[in-house]
Amino acid sequence: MMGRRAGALVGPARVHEEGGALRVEASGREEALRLAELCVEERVRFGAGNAYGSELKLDLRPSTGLLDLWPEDLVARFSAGTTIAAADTLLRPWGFRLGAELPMPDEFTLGACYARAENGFSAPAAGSLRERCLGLLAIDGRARLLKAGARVVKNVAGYDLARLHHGAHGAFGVLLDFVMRVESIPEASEFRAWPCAIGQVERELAARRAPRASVDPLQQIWLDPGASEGVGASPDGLLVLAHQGWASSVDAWGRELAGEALMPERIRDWGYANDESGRGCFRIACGPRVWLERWDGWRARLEDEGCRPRLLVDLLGGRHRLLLADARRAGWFFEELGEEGARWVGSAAGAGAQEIALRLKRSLDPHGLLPPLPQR
Amino acid sequence: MLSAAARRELSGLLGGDPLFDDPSHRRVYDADAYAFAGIEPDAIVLPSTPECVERILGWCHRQSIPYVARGAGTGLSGGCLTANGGILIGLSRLNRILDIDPLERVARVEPGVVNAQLNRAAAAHGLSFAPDPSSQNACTVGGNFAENSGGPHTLKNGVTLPHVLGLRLVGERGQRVDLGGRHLASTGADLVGLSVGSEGCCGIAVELLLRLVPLPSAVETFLIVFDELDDAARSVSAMVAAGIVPAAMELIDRVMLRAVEEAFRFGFPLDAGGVLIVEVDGEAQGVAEEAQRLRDICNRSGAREIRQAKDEAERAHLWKARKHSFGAIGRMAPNYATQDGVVPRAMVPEIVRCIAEASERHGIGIGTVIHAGDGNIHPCVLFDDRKPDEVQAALAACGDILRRCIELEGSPSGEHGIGLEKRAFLGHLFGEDDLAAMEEIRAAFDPSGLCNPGKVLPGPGGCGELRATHRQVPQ
Repeated sequence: MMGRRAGALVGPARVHEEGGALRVEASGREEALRLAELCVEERVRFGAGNAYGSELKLDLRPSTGLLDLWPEDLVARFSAGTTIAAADTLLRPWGFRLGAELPMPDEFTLGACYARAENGFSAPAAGSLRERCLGLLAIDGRARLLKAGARVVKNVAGYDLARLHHGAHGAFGVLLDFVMRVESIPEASEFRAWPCAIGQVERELAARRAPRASVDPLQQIWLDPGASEGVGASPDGLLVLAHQGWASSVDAWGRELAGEALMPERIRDWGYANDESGRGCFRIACGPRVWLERWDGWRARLEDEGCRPRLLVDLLGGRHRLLLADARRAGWFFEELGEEGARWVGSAAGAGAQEIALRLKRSLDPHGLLPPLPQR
Repeated sequence: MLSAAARRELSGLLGGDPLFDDPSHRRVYDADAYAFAGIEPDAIVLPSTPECVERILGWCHRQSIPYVARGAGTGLSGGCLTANGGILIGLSRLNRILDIDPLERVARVEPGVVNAQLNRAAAAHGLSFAPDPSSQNACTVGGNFAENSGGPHTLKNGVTLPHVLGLRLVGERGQRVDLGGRHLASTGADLVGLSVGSEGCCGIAVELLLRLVPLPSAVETFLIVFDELDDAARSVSAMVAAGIVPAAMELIDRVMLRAVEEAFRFGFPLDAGGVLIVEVDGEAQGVAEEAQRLRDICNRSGAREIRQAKDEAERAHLWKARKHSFGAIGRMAPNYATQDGVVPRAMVPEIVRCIAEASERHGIGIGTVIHAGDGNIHPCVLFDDRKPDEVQAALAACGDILRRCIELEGSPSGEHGIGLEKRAFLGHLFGEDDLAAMEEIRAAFDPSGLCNPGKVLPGPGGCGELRATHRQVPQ
């Protein structure tokens, strides 16, 4: 019956039954709102995209696109269903880009990246989607249309409803559109690489970052020997740094640091690929020193279990992507972190924080229709 | 006023830390830098440890007594006034820098640490705490956290939000709540993001984990003189369009320029329409490139004169013109109110016209400083609070300007917060459901409603109903 009622709202051709849930294509905020109201009325669990546990999944990809652009302000408004790659393509004619350099840009949407707190490698230096989001529109678990923020880059009016949704995996609402700060496409970019064993990373990095170098690199990545096969094989591993900016500045930076110059496309394609079986990477956030000290032991254990783990470490962001490992083992890896790793994890793990998060959940989703809060 | 029994009980919890409730102390703490109101708290406590803060809040919870946290009292929106009565908790004695980790570029600090104090300590490691409000020699990092403070250099480095990695809050029952961690925000409700800029309404932060950034290796600072303010605003847009992201871009109008020149004799031309202070920083080659492009753009935009600081002393001198501007304009009238609004950068010429019209319509002087790169305006409205009609004229002018900011798709506050002053304006910016959701956010952190009540969200006694002052002023 839910399928029929949804079909009456958007047209039957846009309602698809998939794996026991309904995927309903919603074009625009009005349709999304009507569908949410229907779900609240019928007490049907709903969410957007691949929302966990949803009986009705709002597919916002039909409403993809650039809704507004204010080029003098470097501000743009996008539908949440716009993929990262599409957003950059739409901005390129203006000489702009999102700048967040997020993973799997052809697949991940703005809404998905924001809800999952996805960060690119340049996030520590240049900010992530969290810092670039100036405002958004969302539908909460009561089917209220809620606005956050404004078109301006500085704004402290009221409580930050935009931040509420960041990293919440849709637990507080369905994201409809974003007002984003964009940036000019840099004149030049360059990647430089050096052979570097795991135990030498901190020393090598310190020699190439401010204050010993004239400027911090925009991206700082370490690849283990298996992971570095695609970009420049090294038996020890590879330290890769990236910089962007004026051509003269990037050139000066490259000369200052020396090392081997790499083509950016090799890094980009490699960093976010699926393996030949289509299994993607998964991410564990942990302080670099804790993880780097234990990687060899964990790698051996994964290989014993038949995985082919390859490690990519975002050094400044403290995030570690295990590539080409069996994703079913993600749960095991989280347990392994224990207290030592938990010190470094930025999620709301404490009892006090959980209490607040649950109160927020009960307020904004009193019937429990939205995806659950991500908790550890 | 506290009853004698309540006073004894609260005193007993403080472990020797002071409690004041005599009239002279209550008068000292009755105001922050908000010019239009003063409200005496029932009592003032000055804890020296986070544990003492926990005991105070636990007691307030049991007694159902409201409380408000206060840093240095430099806030400009009445945020630390006890609007609903209660205890004022001064955090200036929680002023220790607990740890600076130069490798991780993280500082762990107590909320009473002065912004400039943290920057001096970080500079020893070649690092800095990016938010640099004009009041940084007095304001505390706890206040920066509460207001999501900005400052001239936030154009490139961001406001306080991206620089807060984690914190320890004391919740409504006096319980400890730890939020965030040592690296970027990850999966889970972004409670750090929600609490930054919550204006002291979501608990009291007793420890902050702050991100530090490296000091730039090269800096160039310019002062550019324009005959017309519109030309200056146009050059700002042109710089941004050319891909230049200065570290700072500050616009000073003619009225403010006169005040600064009369006070400090910088040698500014008094017939200039406006002056732009621009700073670019980073790696030397890039800075040189940006500096040249900036000169070309300003010349094409009609700049009368471009001065470039030759050394650090001259750079400090140019910044003095900006950082002391509010003090300078204070010489021009017995009182002034520093307003705070924000418009899209492209709308800066329009809001400048609105400010001039408001000044003329209400017959009061207004000097303006603008964080030009992000459209954040600070009109300084001059008045004499001994003259009720001037007070009303000043309030009316502020209202006109803030309403126009909202009409231009901006906001009634870029960095000073809503506080007591601007609650009524939120209704122009957000709908009922939005405001209801904000109430729910606040209640999630503070179900008791005792933490800094009467602030931020619209309610009885909004901005328009504020009396000129609750204080007596010298005749």
